[in-house]
Amino acid sequence: MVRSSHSGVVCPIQWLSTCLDPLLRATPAVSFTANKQGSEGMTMTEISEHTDQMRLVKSVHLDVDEFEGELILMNLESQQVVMLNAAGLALWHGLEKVPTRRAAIELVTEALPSVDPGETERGVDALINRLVEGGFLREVPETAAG
Amino acid sequence: VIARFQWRGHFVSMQAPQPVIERVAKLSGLEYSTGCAVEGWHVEAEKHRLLLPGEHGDYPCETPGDLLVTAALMVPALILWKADLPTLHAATIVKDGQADLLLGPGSVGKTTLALEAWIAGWQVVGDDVVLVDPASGMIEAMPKPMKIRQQDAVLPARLLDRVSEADWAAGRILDEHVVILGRGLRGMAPLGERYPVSRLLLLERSEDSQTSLLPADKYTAIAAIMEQRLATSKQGLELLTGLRGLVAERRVFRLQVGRGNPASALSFIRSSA
Repeated sequence: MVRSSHSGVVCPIQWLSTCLDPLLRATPAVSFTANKQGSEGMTMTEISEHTDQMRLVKSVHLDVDEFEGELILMNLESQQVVMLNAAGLALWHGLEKVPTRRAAIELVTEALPSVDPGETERGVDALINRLVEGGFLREVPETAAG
Repeated sequence: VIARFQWRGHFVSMQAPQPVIERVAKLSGLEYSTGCAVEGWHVEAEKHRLLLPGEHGDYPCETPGDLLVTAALMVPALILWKADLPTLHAATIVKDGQADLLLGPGSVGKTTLALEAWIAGWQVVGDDVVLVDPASGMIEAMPKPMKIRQQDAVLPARLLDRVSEADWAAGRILDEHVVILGRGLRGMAPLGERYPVSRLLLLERSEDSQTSLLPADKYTAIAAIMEQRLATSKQGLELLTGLRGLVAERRVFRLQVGRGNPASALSFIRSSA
């Protein structure tokens, strides 16, 4: 909801434009951003072990649509929208059976044998981070996931 | 007088002098009834301000024109907000029964193009918002006058012989001088009439005076639809469902409008239809 210049007043006319993040077209083999989130005081090995003990759970507040082999996800709480390509779509569906980072990376590495495994790992990590940041996924301790 | 303005079962009441009520109804296209009690959202016209319900606050109105313009824009806006239907921030123009949606953020030129089209004899569904039926992808008009931003609150000279006194009003809303054109004008699409959509045209301002029309890739198209939707979280991806056929059939284009040249943009739209 956008606030008007009329101080502190919500203007229904300007409410019209809902802000959204740019659509994410994440390709596991392409995008890479160093995973610093949650890394305070931990080495990369510790982060890896830590995240491996976490289960990835899809948010229940999502609207999901498949379009031309890609996946559009909307977080109904934050109104953010992301779009995943075919590899991202496979990863998303794969999370039903392999709900941890490590397993997801292995799944995509197997599916993309021609891509450097290190690159795949970084790409999957970046994608999962983005989905966690956007509230599309939650990381919960294995024991709490039920 | 207390009047109840309504549309599709949603209503807002307003207390104002009878002439103001009548003008608001004519300009917005909203139906109203009188003799009702204040119930739900209520708007009150005072001499120098319009009081809106709850968090919407009050709007200063120095002149009767300011009051009329503000009421004619805000009463329908409140109803549309309450109705919370799948709507898109787009001007919509119709030729031969086929609608072109002109999407874009504020101040990109939607109203300018819609006005240009209206003068050229196209039917105008709206200059700002349009209702989309997710099931069929058909669109229809919403009760809202056309709002033209102006340097001063006067009717543009080229509209003088096209509109009658009752069909327009001028004034200030917030910090803007605007002229509004009523829904009753010939060439404005009647409420309730549905149209198939021919194309989505994503409006952009060109850096120079050149106008161009380029196919938009599906990511650009989907991003534009989602950015310009006017819905709440209840609706999720519903709006996209209604318009996905246009994306799949590659009927989404980027219309780069040459600076100061809306007529050429309209000519592009016409010739490429």
